[in-house]
Amino acid sequence: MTIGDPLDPLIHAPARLRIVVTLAALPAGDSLSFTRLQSLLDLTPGNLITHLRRLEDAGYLSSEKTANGTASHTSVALTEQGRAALSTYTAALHALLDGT
Amino acid sequence: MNAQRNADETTPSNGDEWLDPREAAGLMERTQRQAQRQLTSDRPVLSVFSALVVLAIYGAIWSSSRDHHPYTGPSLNVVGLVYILVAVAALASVSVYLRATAGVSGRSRRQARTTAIPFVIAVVGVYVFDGALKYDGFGPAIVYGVFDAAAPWLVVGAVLAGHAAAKQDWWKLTGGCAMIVVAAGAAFAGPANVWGVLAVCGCLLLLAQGAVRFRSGRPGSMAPSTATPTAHHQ
Repeated sequence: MTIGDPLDPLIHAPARLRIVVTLAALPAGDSLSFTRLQSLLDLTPGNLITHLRRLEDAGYLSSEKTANGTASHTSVALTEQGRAALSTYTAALHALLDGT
Repeated sequence: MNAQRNADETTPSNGDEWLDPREAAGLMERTQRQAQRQLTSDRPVLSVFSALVVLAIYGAIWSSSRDHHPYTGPSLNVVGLVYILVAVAALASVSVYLRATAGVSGRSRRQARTTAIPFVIAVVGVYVFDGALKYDGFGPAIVYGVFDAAAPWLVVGAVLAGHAAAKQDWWKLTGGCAMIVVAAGAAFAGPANVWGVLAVCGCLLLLAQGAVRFRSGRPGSMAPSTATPTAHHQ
């Protein structure tokens, strides 16, 4: 890892960085409901959906929608690829701040 | 200085708010801390609360029975107090757990449910066995003294240690083994003093657990340090 390595632009944005770090706090194999994630991050539903979609398109997130009668329930989880991307991002940030 | 310049000149993400690398590190640290605090029930404050509850329960029983010759067991008032304290502690723990796991689904929830089964069976088994001891003619010194005080620790410690060993969680394994060792040793103190020994040791073990939880809850290796980069290269 060198100083010149770019920070992953998909993660290097405040809202998406918070989303990825929050989901990374869960054990692998766990997912979080959309409403809980929204309340944790204090984002509007539209804003959160936009960022989740970008992360999902990149393969960093997986989402699952389940219907329960008239209500639907969406949960999101960080994929292995997402965890790896966060790890790479963290290492790049370390390198950048340490100047190595 | 080069590192400082490079840190400041990192390309902002397309179409998103510009984020300075140091701000990013700070944001990661804060988010990580918040997520750990909100999404986990392993809170240091809960360990401290449990430590005080154990001290109060075991201490109250020891205090009410230490002058018994022969030992007759705790008074009904103390038993009532114990039930109230156990109920309060259980409600607090369940409330913290439910709040932390609201909206969380997946493997860890299934594992938690599976883990609860041997715990419940072990605790129920202790008290069924307790009834059998009384039925077989053992006196209060065994039934309401040594066994009642130490047996829950032995079985819960064994279940905890077995579960922790399977998950290679060395801190919990140490805690489970410590429970077994403390309970076995405390039994030698006699039917009244076993409660006193376990009050102090249980409180200390739970405070140690709180310290471990506090240490592991601090931002770890994931969030980079937000210290200025030049400080590392002088």
